[in-house]
Amino acid sequence: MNGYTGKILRVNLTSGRITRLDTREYSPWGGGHGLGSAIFFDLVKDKTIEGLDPRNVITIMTSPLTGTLIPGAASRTEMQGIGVQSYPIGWFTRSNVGGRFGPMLKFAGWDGIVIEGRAEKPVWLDLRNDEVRIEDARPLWGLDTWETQARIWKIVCGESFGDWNEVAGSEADGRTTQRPAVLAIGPAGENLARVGAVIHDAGNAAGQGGFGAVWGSKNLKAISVIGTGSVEVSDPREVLNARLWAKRNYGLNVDDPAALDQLLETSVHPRGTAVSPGSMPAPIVFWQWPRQSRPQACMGCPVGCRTRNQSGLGNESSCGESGVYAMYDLQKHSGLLAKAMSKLVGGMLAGLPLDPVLLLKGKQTDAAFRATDLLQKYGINAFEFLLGLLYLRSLYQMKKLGPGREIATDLPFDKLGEEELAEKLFHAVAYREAGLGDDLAEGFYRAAKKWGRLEEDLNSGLLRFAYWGLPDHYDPRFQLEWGYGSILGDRDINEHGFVALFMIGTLSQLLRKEPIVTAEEAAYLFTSRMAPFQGDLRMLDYSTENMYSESMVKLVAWHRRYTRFWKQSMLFCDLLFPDFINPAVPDKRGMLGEGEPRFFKAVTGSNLSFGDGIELGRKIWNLDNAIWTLQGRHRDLARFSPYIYQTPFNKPAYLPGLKNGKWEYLSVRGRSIDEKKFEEWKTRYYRFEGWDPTTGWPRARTLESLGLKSAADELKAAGRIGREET
Amino acid sequence: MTQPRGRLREAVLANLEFKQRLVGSLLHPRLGYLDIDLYGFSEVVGFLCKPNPVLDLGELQTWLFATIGDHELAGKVAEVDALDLSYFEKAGRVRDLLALRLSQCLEPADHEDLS
Ligand code: SF4
Repeated sequence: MNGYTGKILRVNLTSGRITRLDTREYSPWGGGHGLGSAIFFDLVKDKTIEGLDPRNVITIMTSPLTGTLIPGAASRTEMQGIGVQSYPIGWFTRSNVGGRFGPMLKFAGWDGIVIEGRAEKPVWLDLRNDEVRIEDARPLWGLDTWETQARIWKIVCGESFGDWNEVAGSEADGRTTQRPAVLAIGPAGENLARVGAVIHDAGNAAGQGGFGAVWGSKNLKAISVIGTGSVEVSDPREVLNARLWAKRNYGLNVDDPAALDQLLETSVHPRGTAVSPGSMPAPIVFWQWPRQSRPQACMGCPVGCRTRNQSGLGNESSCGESGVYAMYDLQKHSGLLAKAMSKLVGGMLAGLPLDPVLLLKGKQTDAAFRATDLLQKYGINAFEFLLGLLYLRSLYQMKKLGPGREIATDLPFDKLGEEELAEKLFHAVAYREAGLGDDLAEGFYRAAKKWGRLEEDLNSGLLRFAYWGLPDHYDPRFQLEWGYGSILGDRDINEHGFVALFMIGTLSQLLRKEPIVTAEEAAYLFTSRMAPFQGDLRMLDYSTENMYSESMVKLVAWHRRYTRFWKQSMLFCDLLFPDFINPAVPDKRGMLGEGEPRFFKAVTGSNLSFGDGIELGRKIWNLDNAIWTLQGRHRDLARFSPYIYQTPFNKPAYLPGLKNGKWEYLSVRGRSIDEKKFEEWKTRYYRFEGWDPTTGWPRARTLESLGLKSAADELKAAGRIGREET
Repeated sequence: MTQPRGRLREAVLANLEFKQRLVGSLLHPRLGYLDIDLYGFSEVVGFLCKPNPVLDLGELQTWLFATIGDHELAGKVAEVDALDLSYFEKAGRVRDLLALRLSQCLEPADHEDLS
């Protein structure tokens, strides 16, 4: 069982029983998500339960590549279970966390953890190699996620960090200098806020799904793990060779000025053209990058997309987390920035030399960092607030929200952009303070419903929550596979594999630069490797004429399969894979299709091909759909919010498409999704997957052909099996 | 540009109502677009200082003309918009124009905290 430790920890919090599952029983699912779905399916008998029901089962799974040197796949951990964030049904859903929890779990000898039941009083799990204890968490209850972790570090390691520590339960060389890796909830999870997240270290969050609340409902405060073992791999030399091969052939050589120049020439943003290991290893943050900082990476990752800062603020937070408050901070203090700019321009016009120090006067304050840190400490889903705060600001400006207004609150929204508002608002949410805090703890969608605003604000797009009561991300009106994939699934997919097409197309137009690949080259580069559908170039045709086509069905199907296996089960990081277009490679052809199976083989010794992985992804996707169907899914529920159908997308967006028989980056500005045509497309999609197009339910024949007979039987018993085609 | 006075100067420095706002979007590889509501002239300048700011220059002209009442600046932005330049080059020039206008509206004392 190279790559696997061979056992999965199973903890029943109700009975206090600690047992093991044999990984071998589930290893045909690969790892990560596949394992989680299969175990969930087996252990949860009634799939119609709600997320906070003690019968809900949480799985926390690694992959065989976790804890090895495979680039971008060594660190991640997949969390699954019935969530509480989506609407109208809390779907069986997933979230994913980086950092070092997964590797440490493997080093302790576990492929994953299964949590069942509900503890009578708050508990935390203490894993030291093989030794597992359920500990009393009453002294930790009420602490924020950072305090909780620090307290646990002390309990496990004593005061001395960095010294050698003996780890109980270990064998001969059971010593480590590492601190335990801890997943913890904060007050938001304890108080069952649907926006509750599970946090690890400073800035890693399993944010989506409301797993913080699910943990809270189970009285589970934290899981700590420390291990002194290692992961057995099939061919250690090849693991190293494969890593070096990826670095030499697909990584950006940051020591080569010509390579850097070339990258910057093709992009105004160092990561602007691609999701690829060949992009600039620069932090992906919205706030102004602190000058005194150094890169920080998840374990084993050669990129390091976050920073650790001398100020101690904003550590490890990146992407949307860093954007929640940054713009408001800047706006609040934009008087100074604007003044600096105006003085600069005034000076330049008067012939004075440019004074770069002046620009720094306009920098954001610490509020942006502190606000994000508060979200991490309270254990709140930052992405919900990224768009949610925009909504609250609108309501405040519309005079609907504020003291004595329709949505009454004394929170000082005039101080948006200052730390004071962030502290008061996030505290109110985490502790469910009566009024706005309690409303928002339910998530913005439910809050808007309670306020009687939902219909109006979803029609107008004031509330940009596009699917399943969840915030919009890449807009479905232009990034089709993102929107379609999200509405066919359970959440905002948050998979950036095809967004390079939009970035290349749009940036090249806005910059008037040659794209690094033409639309036609992109179509070949992508589709030639999209087994088993390779060769259908129109999968990449994002034109309005093609957006409801059979080719678009294939694009979405391929994406669901690729991500379910290679990304969510093998746990390749979304920032690096799939490597379709690589700016560091002369012909721009990334390692997609070649890298994944090579890495897999080096670790496991298995000859699983890239296409085998895609097919396994199909099986996992089918099992997930069976679970959603058992939960109450019907095709009629799979609808976008009204603004996606009614309001044209009005910003520049260029994607590859065919126009008069020629490939171009076409403007798709001004389009919306045609509801009727999208329903027809869904019919096409369901047929393609072998699901019943009248309901979207899986058919027995399809499930059985995939080896999912037990799922078919359960659906039949529930009266929710798709009708076979006559 | 002519030195603005009176009502125009006040409008440049004012905080605006919801219906008077301008919406900008930051283009970012992780998000696509992140919309930002802009409730005043200085917020627009601040927004244009961020990386990859996307603002419809036609809408900006209308906003300057109708909401701020700055016909001269609206005309200048229209001139920039008509140039044979990339969008981002135009956005940079527009940012400088707006910053200059703001500079004209600020009192000398407003610049003191920059020294
Ligand atoms: S790219 Fe960033 S998020 Fe992904 S594994 Fe590396 S450090 Fe972690």
